[in-house]
Amino acid sequence: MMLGILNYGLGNIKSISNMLDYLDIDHIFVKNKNDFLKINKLILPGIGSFDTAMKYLNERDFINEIKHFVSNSNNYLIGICLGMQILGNKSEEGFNEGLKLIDFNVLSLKNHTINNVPHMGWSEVSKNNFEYKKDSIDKFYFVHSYFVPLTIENSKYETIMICDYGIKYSAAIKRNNIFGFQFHPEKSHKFGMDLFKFLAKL
Amino acid sequence: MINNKIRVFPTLTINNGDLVKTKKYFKPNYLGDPINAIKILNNKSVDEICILDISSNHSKIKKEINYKLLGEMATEAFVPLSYGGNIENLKQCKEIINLGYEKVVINSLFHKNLNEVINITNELGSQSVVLKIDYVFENNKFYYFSMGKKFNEISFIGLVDRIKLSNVGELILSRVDFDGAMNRYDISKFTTFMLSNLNIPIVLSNGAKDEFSIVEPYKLGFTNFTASSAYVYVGKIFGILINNPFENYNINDL
Repeated sequence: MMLGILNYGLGNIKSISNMLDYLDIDHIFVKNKNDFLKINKLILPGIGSFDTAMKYLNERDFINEIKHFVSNSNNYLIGICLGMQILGNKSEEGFNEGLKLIDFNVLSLKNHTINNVPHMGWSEVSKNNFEYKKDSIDKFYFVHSYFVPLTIENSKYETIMICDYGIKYSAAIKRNNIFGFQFHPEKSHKFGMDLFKFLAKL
Repeated sequence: MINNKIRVFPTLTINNGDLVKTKKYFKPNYLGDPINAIKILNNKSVDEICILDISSNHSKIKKEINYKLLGEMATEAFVPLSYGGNIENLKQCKEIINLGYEKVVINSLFHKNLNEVINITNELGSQSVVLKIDYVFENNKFYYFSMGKKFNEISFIGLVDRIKLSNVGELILSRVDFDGAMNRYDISKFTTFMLSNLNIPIVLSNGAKDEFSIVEPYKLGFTNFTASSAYVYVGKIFGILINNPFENYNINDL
């Protein structure tokens, strides 16, 4: 079983694939339903807008495939950037429903920070019960205008990395066999590589 | 680890597919293969790489954007990338972004076709568009360069207004006569005026010798820097060695 990168027309799948190649992590591009049978980990990338991502997933009949895939607890789903945001219910960015795999609503940074939006650049994050490596410093490359809030009591997900951009929000989340990362590990050199190595070993 | 507030990144110049380094934008010195340079800089954990193609500068024929080379370089870079050189329209910018680049760098286009720059920032978002201004002072007079020619008919405040109108997300200030000098950054009235009158990252370019070159401009409030020679030369005889002089310093130690 292998790692797959979902190819649904959004997101820089080439950059992710380049880094996995560099790390000798076997992977395929998932282009159709049959490809889902070959993988046990699925990266859901995404650059662009919330509604466009959901529209593209819908047009390619991937929504139920993803839900079916993740219902097997031996599989892992890994959302990156917009791919993390569409794991939730809905977003202030658009009108479409998300995948509703995790119970959160995506909020607009503009309404919550005095810093420049989009948040673009390197930021340090702090880990929260997520000891995937020993280093104390973690920094990653971010490009986004919307964010997933921190987990609160009764939330059905954990915030495993926190970023502070005038507001503290979830840089990474986890729920059972689902991970979401707001930053771009594929553009975060050694820090991103460490993260992909961890994810490949799951 | 670089202090969180300071950002320093290498700018690589490409001439006809070769990695080169110029002096005052002339005499491109052949340094080697750009893809190999990207690999090394990756291993040195630079946080970002800016690639500028200067092929047209030294040729009478206008050169096309070398998408093949840009694609190959992107394959080796696990950091954010920006590209500048021969950019004339939005279509080219989209193609560059699709190759895996985060930002495009606009230069002459800003002076000759502001509307197209506005189109580009509207479509790609300000955060993906960087403006680079090449300039000199001669007899205390400010000149900017466009298409390789010098102009002086604009005031600093006029320039600031035009930059605001263009909606670019970042500004690189490159003093042409400091290029390759490995002496110091330009902290003249021009760069400090831009810093205090614009609300976007102002990147000082050209003239850096080593990590100590950052100290003076940092005291004036500059926090964004790019360098070329300092990343590709070592020692007094300008031996070629791709390195990262900014890898392990802390501004508080300087």
